[in-house]
Amino acid sequence: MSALIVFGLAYAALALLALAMARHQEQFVGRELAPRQVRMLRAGGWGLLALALWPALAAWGTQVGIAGWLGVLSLAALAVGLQLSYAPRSGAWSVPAALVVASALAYVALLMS
Amino acid sequence: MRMDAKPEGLRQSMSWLHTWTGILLGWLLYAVFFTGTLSYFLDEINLWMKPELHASVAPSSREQAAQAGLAGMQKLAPQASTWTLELPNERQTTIQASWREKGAAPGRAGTRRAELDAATGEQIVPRETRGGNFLYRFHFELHAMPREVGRWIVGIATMFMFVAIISGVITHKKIFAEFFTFRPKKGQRSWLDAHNATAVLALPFHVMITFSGLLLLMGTLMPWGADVAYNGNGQAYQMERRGVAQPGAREESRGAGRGGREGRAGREGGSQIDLAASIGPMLATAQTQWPEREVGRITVTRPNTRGATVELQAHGSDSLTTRGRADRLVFDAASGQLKDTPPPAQPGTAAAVNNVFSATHLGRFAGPPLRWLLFLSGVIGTAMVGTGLVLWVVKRLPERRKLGYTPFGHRLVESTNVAAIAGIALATAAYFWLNRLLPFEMAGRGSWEINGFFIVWALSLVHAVLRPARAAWLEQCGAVALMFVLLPVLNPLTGGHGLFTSLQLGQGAIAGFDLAMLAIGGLFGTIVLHLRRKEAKAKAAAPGVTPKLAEVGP
Repeated sequence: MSALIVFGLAYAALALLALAMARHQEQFVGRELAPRQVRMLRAGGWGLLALALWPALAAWGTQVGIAGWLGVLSLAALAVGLQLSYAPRSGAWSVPAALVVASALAYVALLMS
Repeated sequence: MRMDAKPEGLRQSMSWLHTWTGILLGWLLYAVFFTGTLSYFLDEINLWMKPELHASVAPSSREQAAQAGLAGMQKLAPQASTWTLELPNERQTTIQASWREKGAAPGRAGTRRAELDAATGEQIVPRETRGGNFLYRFHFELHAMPREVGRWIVGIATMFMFVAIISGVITHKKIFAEFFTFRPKKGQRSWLDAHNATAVLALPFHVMITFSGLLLLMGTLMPWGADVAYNGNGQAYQMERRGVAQPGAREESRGAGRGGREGRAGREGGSQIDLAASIGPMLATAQTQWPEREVGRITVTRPNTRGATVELQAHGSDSLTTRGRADRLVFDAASGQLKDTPPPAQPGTAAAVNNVFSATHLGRFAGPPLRWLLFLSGVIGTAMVGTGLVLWVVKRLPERRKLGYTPFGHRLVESTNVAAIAGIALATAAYFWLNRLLPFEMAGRGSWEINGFFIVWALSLVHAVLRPARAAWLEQCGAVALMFVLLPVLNPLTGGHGLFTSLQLGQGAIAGFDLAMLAIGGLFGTIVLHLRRKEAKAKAAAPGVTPKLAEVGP
């Protein structure tokens, strides 16, 4: 479950970072975004990426946590890459969905611990 | 190397280096990645390849399994100096027992092993097979050559892999701008994107796996330091590096001194210790000490003597620096009292760093999710090498078209690619099939499984040379898909627990193997469908003309 939480957060983070790139804005939303929006996306993306480290550390300890976090980042980046090439517009719902699912799972995990 | 007359910069020279080290060692690295990635599921492969062990179903209570194991050992080796029982876990259905007779040779040579039924403690004799160990060993020692030579070859390839990664990153023009970029259905562009994406996205994994691979082979590649410091006594070096005393010295003194005397005294006095009764409370103590973890291993030292001790070790560990070594509890067997709680050895900094890398490489620490993570990263790594190999050919298609014929070198690479990528999968499938089809009593059946692997691999190369590239890809991928998809069918027909049984009994490791085989078969099936669709499209575009351009890659 912790792996899913990390993945959900990392996926959303990397999708936001991709959306902050001019090349992918066309694909994702069909237009270029304003510089202010780009800055917010970038901050949000990096923030979520850092946040994703937390459940990894909590579930697996420091050492395995960092290794696992890096591994999940790779898979999440792969997912974003594939989505951008095959179903770019689906990001509009998949990113919020990933965030909701990750938060829900994190909430359950907190309740259980 | 440039067509335009611009001076050759760092990136161009790196590109040259990357292309040529890539193709020369790519085939070997593909095989290393392929077999190495499978080795993350070494235990599962071993279990599947010994279907006799499927019949052992772990009892629900730890205590029952422990009692069964101890009873089994009492029958098998009452006189042994130590018993070690690996209790069943999510990757293992049986109790793996090992023991050392008194005065046995130190190290592995003196250790005897047996598989015990987890419910009854009866010994199970599985078929003779190298199982997943063959694939595991192959990934760093190759085969049919002295171990050292194989390690050298793989070690050198690993070094070049390191070079290829670094030169690849430098060669990549827009590593950040194209971080998420994959443009499908664009021929060479797509292959390049796929190669870049699999390399860049899993870069932390690639760097970790090659660097730690080098560290693991360090003893072979640079033995001089240790040779001098330990006067060529390699075993002493390994022992000290792992933080254990020389077993020979320790056990000899024990056997000659205390242990021997006590052993006789214990048996003469007739005071047999009833471990079956006392193991339960010991396990309960362990449960309170490590509520999160189960007891994984029971070691009984000097069983059937008054001085016998029982050591319980937790299953799995969260620490990378100790290379997965876990907490232990030592009990006095006679009284059942807790004697000692030795902490896991704390290694020095250099050893800790080494351990972090090697444990990550080996997946020592990994529970199922992390193991899958490493496996998937391995798949990405395999894909990275594979796409690189195909890219080499695809990139040279325009040149080939301009020439009007296929230069020998291009054809050579093209055919070898088929055998390197599809052929090794075919050989692995054949290895699994032979494991089930060769008769149990056959002399040297274990070696014949391996011979079969190499014969099929060699045949795949012959096939790739004889057939046009496109047909070779299509036929071999088709055969791979079929052979893998049918493995879960073969499994229950040849004595194993099929998917329904294994899932019902909660034998996740067996079910996992079957499901993974279906997934691999499905993957190759998808490649076949993709190839055929491409062919159909090309035919529709130019009726009567066989597609030339798309001849090369899947």
